[in-house]
Amino acid sequence: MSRRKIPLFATIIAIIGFILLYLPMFLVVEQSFNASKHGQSWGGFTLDWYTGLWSNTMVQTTTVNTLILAVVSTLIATVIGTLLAIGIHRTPWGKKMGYFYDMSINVPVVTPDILMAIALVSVFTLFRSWTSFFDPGMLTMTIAHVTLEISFVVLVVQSRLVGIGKDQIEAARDLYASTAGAWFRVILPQLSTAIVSGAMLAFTLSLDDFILSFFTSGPDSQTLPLYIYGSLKRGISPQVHALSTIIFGLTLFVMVLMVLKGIRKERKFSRKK
Amino acid sequence: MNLSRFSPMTTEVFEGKLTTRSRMRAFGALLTGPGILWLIIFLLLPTLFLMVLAFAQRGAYGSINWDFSVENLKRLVGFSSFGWSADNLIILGRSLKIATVTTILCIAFGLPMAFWIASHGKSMRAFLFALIMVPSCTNLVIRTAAWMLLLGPDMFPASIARFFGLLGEGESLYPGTFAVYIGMVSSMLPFAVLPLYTSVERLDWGIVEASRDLYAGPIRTFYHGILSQMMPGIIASVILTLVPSLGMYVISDLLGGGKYMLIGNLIQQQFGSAMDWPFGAMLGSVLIICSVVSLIIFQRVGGKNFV
Amino acid sequence: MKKILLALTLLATFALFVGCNDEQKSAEKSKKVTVMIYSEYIDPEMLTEFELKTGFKLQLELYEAQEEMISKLQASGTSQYDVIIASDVVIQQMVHLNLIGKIDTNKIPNRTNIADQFRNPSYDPTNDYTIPYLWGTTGILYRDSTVDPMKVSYSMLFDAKQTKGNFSLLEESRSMLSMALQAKGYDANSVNQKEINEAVEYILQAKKDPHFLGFDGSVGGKDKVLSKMDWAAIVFNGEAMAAINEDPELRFAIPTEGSFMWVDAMTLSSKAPNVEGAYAFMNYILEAKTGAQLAKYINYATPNKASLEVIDAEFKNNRVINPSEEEIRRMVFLKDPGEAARLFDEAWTIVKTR
Repeated sequence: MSRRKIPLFATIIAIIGFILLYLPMFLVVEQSFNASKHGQSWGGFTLDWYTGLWSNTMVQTTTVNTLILAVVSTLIATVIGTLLAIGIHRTPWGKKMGYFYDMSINVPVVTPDILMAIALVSVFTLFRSWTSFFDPGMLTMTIAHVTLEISFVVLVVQSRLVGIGKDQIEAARDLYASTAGAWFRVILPQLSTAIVSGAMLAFTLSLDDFILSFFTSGPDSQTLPLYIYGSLKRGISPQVHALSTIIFGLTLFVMVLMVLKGIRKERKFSRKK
Repeated sequence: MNLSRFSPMTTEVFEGKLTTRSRMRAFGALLTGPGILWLIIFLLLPTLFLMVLAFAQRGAYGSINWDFSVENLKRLVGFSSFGWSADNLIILGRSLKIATVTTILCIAFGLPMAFWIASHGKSMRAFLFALIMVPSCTNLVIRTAAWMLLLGPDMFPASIARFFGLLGEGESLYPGTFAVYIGMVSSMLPFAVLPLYTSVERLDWGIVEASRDLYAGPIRTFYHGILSQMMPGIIASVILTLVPSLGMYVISDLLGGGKYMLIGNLIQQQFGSAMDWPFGAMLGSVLIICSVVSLIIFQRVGGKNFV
Repeated sequence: MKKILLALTLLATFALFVGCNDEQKSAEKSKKVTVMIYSEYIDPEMLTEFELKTGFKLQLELYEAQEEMISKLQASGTSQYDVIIASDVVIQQMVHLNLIGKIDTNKIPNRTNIADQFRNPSYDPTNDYTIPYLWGTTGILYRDSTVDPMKVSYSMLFDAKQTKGNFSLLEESRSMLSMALQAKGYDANSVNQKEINEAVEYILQAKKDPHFLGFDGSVGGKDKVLSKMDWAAIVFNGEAMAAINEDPELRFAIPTEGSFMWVDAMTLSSKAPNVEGAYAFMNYILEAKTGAQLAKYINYATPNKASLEVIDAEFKNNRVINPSEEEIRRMVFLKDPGEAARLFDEAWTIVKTR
């Protein structure tokens, strides 16, 4: 796709949108350096909250747990979800099966998280009468998060699959590609943006989830949202702001690195041309 | 798909390959198998259990009493200990209103953002797109609390509003409806932009040019040439925004001052302070059934199998 | 392909991680005490001190709302926890749901340190299930040094003619309704439908006042008073203390019509894996020095009479933390509403809808 010009007003609205997303982030960063504990006013610059993090073992273990949980559940949900989307899309399922798939994918999206948590925990209790495998802990949490994430991945991947259409595969087949070859060489590359956005969606869902985590976690698998959620009622401790700033900074840093790499690649590419 | 009247054993052409319908289905089942199995075990079965629970009663001290009756259903439509009242319906209406307005706002911001991102070079595009998701890595509660500070009486948004005479002296933008919508849009926007951007990226600009060549004005070109192509993305984005905002209550509690209850609060309350799981399950089941039915109708009517 | 390999490796590591954890679990179980507790409700220094003193590693699991804590225990069992910190109002419920078990008080030599007024309390008349942890009161925090805290009445908030500025009410159904009941002159533990209805009307009328800013948690209310958005709010005494330390203009009052006090108690999980460790923790908290340290750190009163002797006089004589005899007489403990729970729930739904 070539570059398209868009009208000025759209650019302005887009920039306002970005401001809406980033304004609270700037405040979080500012608060993490604010010596005044309750954040109503600026009490001078400090790094105390950051040094405090260093000795806070609870924050460290919960951060590690949160990241492991988010990465693992995103991977599982992305693989299963992508397969599910492709399987539904390319197979000539009858009308009834179509409804069944629609329903299975829509139910998790529309279920309030507290209900999903209660329902899942009840089923885990049932399973636990056969095996201790389902004791509250990392495993039950992973299952819960994957269940939440799958349909979001499917929704995003599907909305892209619909647009690709069958003619592309047929064209590839006409050029003597095998069906598998057509899928791997023609369709999957086009799906990659959708798969990545589905995975990103899943990742953030997992990072942010409180209710499902609260009900399925055990004492060994406490995560950051469980630790942070106290802020809702007890006021946010500046250490939490410091931690959020670190995570925010790291994510941005990785993004910039990736873009710089991409730009270099592009330049090389254009020089060769 | 008028081929469906053929029997399964008839050979047909799929994706340029000669095969039978049942063979295709067997392979499809292999692909969907893990996902569907997962969803059945960990989602559909537990949800069915909830729907059974919905007809039980609250026992003493919050235990569950397995006497089946339609008491909870009666309570849902408004027959409470204080006589009939429309409270539950008001709560539902209020939640729907907030969710709908949020979704409209998110799409209104999301469409220009998607186009703006797509108008950049390849790697810049990837960067901006990722930038959409970065704030979501910070916990929702923290971002909402940041808005609470930002919209306070001494911060610059309030000063700007005061400058334009929108706000009286000493008043603040929060708590209030405005603050709730700011918080809602700010947290739901990424979910709206994601599918929108995916569909902008694969737009067939040939159609747009064709429509220009046929002397269509910019509005008609946008409507017929662009919007119609983006429909699947827009529907996905509506679902991803509307449904979660329907259950969201933390933001309205924090930024709206918690004066009014939303459907999310009501359900949460049943599993929290009221300890009435059966009634909570009833509320939730009805909400799930209504949403799933309307979603499926929405998808079927909105187009052939869009999402 | 590389990416898929990477994903598989990650998955395998995770499987190992889960597996190893299982093996470690059984070995660690006897050395670890797991406590379910409100967030920020213990001095982090005490974690290391407890381990040094007793050899048990202290592991915390945090919760924010105790109803959620009960729901979780009810759904997924108590077998992973040793000690559960819970408030007086839910103790009977937890006993009935078999979430907590009887404590063998002989295993806790320091129990003699418990002050008399916390022995045989209404929520645990036989002292079988609870060891008090901290206690506190609920009242009104306001910004006016000219008003005597002993003469403050609920009408300061609820009567539109007497409100002097913006105010927030407490975001907790049972507590807020009980306070409204008391303001109307009824028993805080009333389950009479007519009286509850009057309490609902009373709150609804305050809600119509343009000064009403909303329902807030204790900390939210405190923050709003501190930032001058609110003139008054209903908060717990610990928060009020923190606010007054920051801004001496503020005052805290137990309303003349009455209010309620609460005790957070340590209970023994019904399936505690490490009962011995649980007793060690309870005994440790009841030590004079620990009790004082805890009270100072969290800003709440200690039910430990030995601690009161080692704590500094300023903290001990602080009227906000340790209310006078007369104020204590105004306050009651809230009881589990039993069958009337639904009444309170529906009443609250009305309060929050209209």
